[in-house]
Amino acid sequence: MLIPVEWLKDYVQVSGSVEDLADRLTLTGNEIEEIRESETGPVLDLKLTPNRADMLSIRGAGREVAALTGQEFRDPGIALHASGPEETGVYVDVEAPDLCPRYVARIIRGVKIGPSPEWLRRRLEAVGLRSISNVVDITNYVMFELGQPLHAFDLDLLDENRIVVRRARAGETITAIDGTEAKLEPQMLVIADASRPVAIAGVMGGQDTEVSDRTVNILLESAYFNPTSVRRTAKRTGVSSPSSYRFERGVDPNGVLRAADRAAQLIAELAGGTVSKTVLDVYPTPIEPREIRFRPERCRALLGVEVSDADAETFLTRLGMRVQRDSPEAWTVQAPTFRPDLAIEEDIIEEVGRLYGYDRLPETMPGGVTSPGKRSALENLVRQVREQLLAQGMYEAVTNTLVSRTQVEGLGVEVSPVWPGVETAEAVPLRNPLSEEFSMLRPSLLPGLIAGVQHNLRRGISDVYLFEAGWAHSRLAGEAPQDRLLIAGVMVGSRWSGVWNADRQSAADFYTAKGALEALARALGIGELRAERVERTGREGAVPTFHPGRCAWLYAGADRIGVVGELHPATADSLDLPRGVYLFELDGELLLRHSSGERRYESPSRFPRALRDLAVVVDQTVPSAQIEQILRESVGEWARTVRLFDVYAGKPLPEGKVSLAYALELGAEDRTLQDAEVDARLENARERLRTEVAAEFRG
Amino acid sequence: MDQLSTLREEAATRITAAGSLPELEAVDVEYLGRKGSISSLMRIIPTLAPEERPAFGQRVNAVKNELSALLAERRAALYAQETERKLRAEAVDVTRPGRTPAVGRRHPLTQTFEKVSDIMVGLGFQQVDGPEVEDYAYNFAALNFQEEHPALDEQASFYVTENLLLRTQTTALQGRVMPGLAPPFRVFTLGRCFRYEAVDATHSHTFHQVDAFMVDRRVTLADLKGTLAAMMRELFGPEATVRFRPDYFPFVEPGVEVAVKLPHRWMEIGGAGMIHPNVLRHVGIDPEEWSGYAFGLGLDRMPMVRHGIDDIRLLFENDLRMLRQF
Repeated sequence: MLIPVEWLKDYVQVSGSVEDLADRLTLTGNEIEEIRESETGPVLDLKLTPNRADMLSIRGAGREVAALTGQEFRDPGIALHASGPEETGVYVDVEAPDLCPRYVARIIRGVKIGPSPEWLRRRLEAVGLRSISNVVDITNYVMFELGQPLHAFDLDLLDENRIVVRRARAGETITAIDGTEAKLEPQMLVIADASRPVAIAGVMGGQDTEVSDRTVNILLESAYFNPTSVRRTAKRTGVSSPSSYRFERGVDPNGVLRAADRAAQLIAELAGGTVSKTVLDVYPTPIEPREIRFRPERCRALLGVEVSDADAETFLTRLGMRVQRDSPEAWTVQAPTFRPDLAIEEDIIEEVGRLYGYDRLPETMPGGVTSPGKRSALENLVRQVREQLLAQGMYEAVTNTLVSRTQVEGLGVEVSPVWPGVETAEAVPLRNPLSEEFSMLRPSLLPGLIAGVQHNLRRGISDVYLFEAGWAHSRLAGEAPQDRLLIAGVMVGSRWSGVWNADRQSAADFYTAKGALEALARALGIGELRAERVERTGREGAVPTFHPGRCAWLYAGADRIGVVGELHPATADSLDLPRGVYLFELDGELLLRHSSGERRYESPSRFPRALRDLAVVVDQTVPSAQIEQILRESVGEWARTVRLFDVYAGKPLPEGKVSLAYALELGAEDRTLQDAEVDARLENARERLRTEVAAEFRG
Repeated sequence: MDQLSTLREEAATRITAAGSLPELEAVDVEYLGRKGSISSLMRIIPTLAPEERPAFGQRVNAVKNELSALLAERRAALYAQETERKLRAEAVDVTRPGRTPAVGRRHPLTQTFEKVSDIMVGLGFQQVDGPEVEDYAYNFAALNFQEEHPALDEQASFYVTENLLLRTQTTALQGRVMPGLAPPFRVFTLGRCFRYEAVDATHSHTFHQVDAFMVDRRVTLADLKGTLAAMMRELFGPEATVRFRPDYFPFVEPGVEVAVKLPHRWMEIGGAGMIHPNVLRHVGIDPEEWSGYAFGLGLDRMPMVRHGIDDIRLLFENDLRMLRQF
């Protein structure tokens, strides 16, 4: 809303600078976004809050400024000479009083359509309107002046000189003044003549009956339409206007006639017509000002500041409210009908606080009983995870929830690999996306992380370690989407690349990624993280996400809590990525379920431990977990650690064989073990390894 | 001067002059070794007159002791020198860069989230997580948004189905959580919100908010201002001041827009107010007996202002050249 200061001065004296006025308005809830210049001088650009319909007029703004500054509100009267004869052949029928509580029509005959005078054109330009013709300009002018939208019909084009305010009939259409062809629906309110709609009520007039150069006689409409109905209609038809903007927010039902009179006066003055004595005013149920109980003590209790009774009354009176002190504790405040936003006691309290000044509000801390504050369980988990993954040299990423279908499908993660029910779950598209780029909810964090890798690689950064903890969404067909907290990461290249003479062999591989998760699991107190190879993770027919030979499900107990593996080389290729991209994704809830803060101290044995190394040569297909298990079982209760320390394949070992060297630590709680008994158990282990996995032994 | 004195002079001079441990050892052997020139003097004792023997023997021993002491002293000095020289040779170039272990960094947004949630916990608030995909009812109706109200214009939303949308404000959690709570309570949530808005340097369809609400007897607007001021001082330093301006949100009354004073300007950080009686009644809390405040603050601009990040899109790019700076 643009408010020319020169126009504002019709209603209130503006002493002091325009900047001070703008600040005062801004600090009391009427944000002035900028002060513009116009031919009439400075213009305030007001950003309206949706509740303050009364600020959509210069008169309303004048009243507000008067209340804020304590100046007098000047309200120039209207000098209308309705000297024309009674009209007997013009009719207004309101068939839908629920949607149109009040309809006023005035008749002006013998007008001469022409240009507007200079002062009028300047004021319109100052509020951002273009001058069209005197009559149309006057309706716009009065709308800005008083906040009441008006419409002028060419009376001679109205069938039977009749106005019918009714709901539209199925199949009716109208061409609005702006040229839009609107299809009308039965719940929409229209202004019709005897035969057809001539305006979309409160939204826009129709082309057929608009004022033109040939117009001589005018029916001037001023009405109060139901705000919700106008908003719905404007949205459905796609037509909106300064009129609908005002009706949606609520105009003053008791200012309708005043606006009609003001416009009629100006038309008579500037377009030379004669205003008929007849006022067609259909207002079957007048809307009365609201009476609201106001308790000064409650006002002070809610604001937390001692505003005196006298101050409160002054503030409210200045804002146009009538205050009646029924008792010292409870007053009755009558809220004027131009303030439809004032409905309950708290609204009145806000007005008191606003005029008192929030800058004068003290800063206190709430008292009362408090219990200790607490972070959520998932937040605690995420913090632990973050700390661990940062220590692994991974940087934290934040990626978009909204992703493209291409991103999701290109990676084969229509659903996260760790989602239960992967086979039937699906990604969730938006019904009204901004663009393809942001058209789906991420089902997994991996597409975002892959985008992060691509971004960095394209900029010549070849070592990229990223992780993210965030919410992702999927749904089972026909069901509501589920939010899940996921933790995902990607590793490409070396963590040591920036360091001189660092190990050149340290590019990430499967075990780097798995190792990071093992460290994480230990930190979270997850007993054992079990890996199980998996060849295919996604849905049937989807792009393969992982290398079929380098991917594993990760289990804690019986729960599949995550997945880790190398990005499938073909998929990497199609995403313009090199080989050697490692990914993982974990489910937050499941991690939380299996993590435990419990730690029991175990005292180190007082007796020395027996140390033995054992190099086991087996087929490469034998999983090391199986060997480890045999070793542990054979050594029995004496097993302290069983640690893989060397893996070797190649000459002199035959093709297809691998040597796995284990360091074993054995010990008893109560004594020093004898070499002979230790060796006996080791021999036992060799024997089982020979028979169960066809092992041979080196060294 | 006799032979012993001459040898003593000579040996003492050579000990002092020895420049290295091997040289010193050679001197030791030459004079004091079993076949050394001083030891050899002992061998002439039998040739001396019996009455001269004890005195001569004592003199030789005295010289030997004296020279041994000199040797030990010189040896220690040379050893210290030698060590010093060796250690000098091991000197490193202290100006070469250190070998930094790979350690990642928190994202600047997350740093803000952690700090904000720590403050909230410190103020006695309990954190609750809410869904990003929210029911229309919780996002709007439970928050006193009237159907077809122009206030909805500011809340353009992404829809998943007719009744499910991406929450436009974390305040959506209020209606979900409050029915299960008996006052007094203090709750906060922190998370992602979405609005149907094109992306540019200062706007994104995705943003983050912290939302807090408390209900107790006689909670005041001044308490709200005090709480936010305390929070802003934690975040922006002891000089931070908070400004309230009347604003309109359907779920609070009175409602205010909150701004914090930065060195050169005011930064708007969110909305707040006293919980609307309709919202309280909706969850079965009597607004005559209880009052409460609520606030929702945007979190994306805080790290931008603090670190001088001028484009909101940078926060979602994950460019390592940026992430390494935090």
